[in-house]
Amino acid sequence: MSGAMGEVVGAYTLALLVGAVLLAAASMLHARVRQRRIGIRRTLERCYVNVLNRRLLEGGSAWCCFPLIERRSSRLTLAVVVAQIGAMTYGYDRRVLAKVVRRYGLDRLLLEQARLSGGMRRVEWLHTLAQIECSDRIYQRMMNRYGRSRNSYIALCMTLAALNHSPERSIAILAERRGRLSPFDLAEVLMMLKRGLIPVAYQPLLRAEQANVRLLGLCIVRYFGVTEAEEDIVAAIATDDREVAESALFTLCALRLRLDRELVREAARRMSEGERRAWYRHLASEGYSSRAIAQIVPEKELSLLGEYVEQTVASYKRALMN
Amino acid sequence: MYRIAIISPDRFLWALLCNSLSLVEAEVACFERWSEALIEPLSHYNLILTLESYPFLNGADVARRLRLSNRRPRIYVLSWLHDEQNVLSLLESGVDQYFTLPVNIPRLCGKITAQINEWRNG
Repeated sequence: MSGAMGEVVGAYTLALLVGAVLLAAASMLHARVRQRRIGIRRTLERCYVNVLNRRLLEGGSAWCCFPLIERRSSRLTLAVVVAQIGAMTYGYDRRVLAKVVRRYGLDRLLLEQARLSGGMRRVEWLHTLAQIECSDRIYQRMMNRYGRSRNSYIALCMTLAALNHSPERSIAILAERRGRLSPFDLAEVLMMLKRGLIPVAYQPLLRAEQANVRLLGLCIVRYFGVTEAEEDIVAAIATDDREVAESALFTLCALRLRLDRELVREAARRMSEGERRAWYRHLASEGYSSRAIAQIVPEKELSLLGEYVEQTVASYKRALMN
Repeated sequence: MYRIAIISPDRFLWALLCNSLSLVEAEVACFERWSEALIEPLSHYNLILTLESYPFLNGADVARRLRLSNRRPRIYVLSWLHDEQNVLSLLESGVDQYFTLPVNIPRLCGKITAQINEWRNG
């Protein structure tokens, strides 16, 4: 009896071992196939970058020849390359990129890929699509499908796509946007500005009624260090919109403008304790003198500020002071 | 032949810069990390084009080594960061040129070519 039991246990153990070995072999094979795919994609990506960049640098009318372009995965790689070149560079002839998109139907392909994907993958494809020049038909299809999405990432992609598609309507697009633009969203929009897609005139933006437009205006002022906009920034601090007022306050500090104003003191009083601490940290890192700060910070909170200044000096700035 | 090192963890920019600089008369070496580039003495290169600005800001060895080196290479930083304080800190810690992304590639190549011509003409 015990011999039969032993045989059964032995058979089960053997089956388990064989199963484990098969599973390990399958996972190793999968990993190798995946590695190979990644390798092929990287090689193709590099090849496409070389072909396209050389064409953009040297000019001329000769058509670029992309190897293995008949494959769907290769065309997706090309779409990513076109979007990345468009996002990371400026000054290139954008017509060449648009021509590549049209010739290989990259916009349609990306929209289809976004439809087939889910979650953040979809967002990634839509973000890529927002960075290339797509045709009116594909743009309409994209807006019909995702234009009313409540997902904040997709909403940002749609804003970027709209700005890329009709840059002359950029202010109206931002004004019509339903949700608020976060600082990260603004950074993305600002990148489009540097590529020359959005007007740089900051005054109409700062004086606009819509919060998103004002936030972008403040962002531009910070980016270019426009100290001439002092009056408009101070006026923005006085607005009822908390986000705009806070952004204006931080802009004032970023430009190292005079803080000794009643409006600034009042804005600081309106802040919660956490917000005020964040602002003190900002003041410390911006390098305001203790005398300038003492005029606006209540006496009991001055020690807190001193602590932040010490922390800043003790951190990365120490390397510069040695 | 002048030597240029590109240090970039971003493979795409790595490929883009490498391809663009192939038109410049120089030997180009690419590294993913500073640690890889530091295997050779920094004076081995005439110009370092980096996308990683943190070694200059975190008190790492790079800034000190650059200051101590007699024949230090020119350092160009390419970064998404654009706030003035960051740029000033980088310039103070030994960076020669600072470019923000998105970048104008022909202009960048032009600056590098001008630098090479300057070395060539003494």
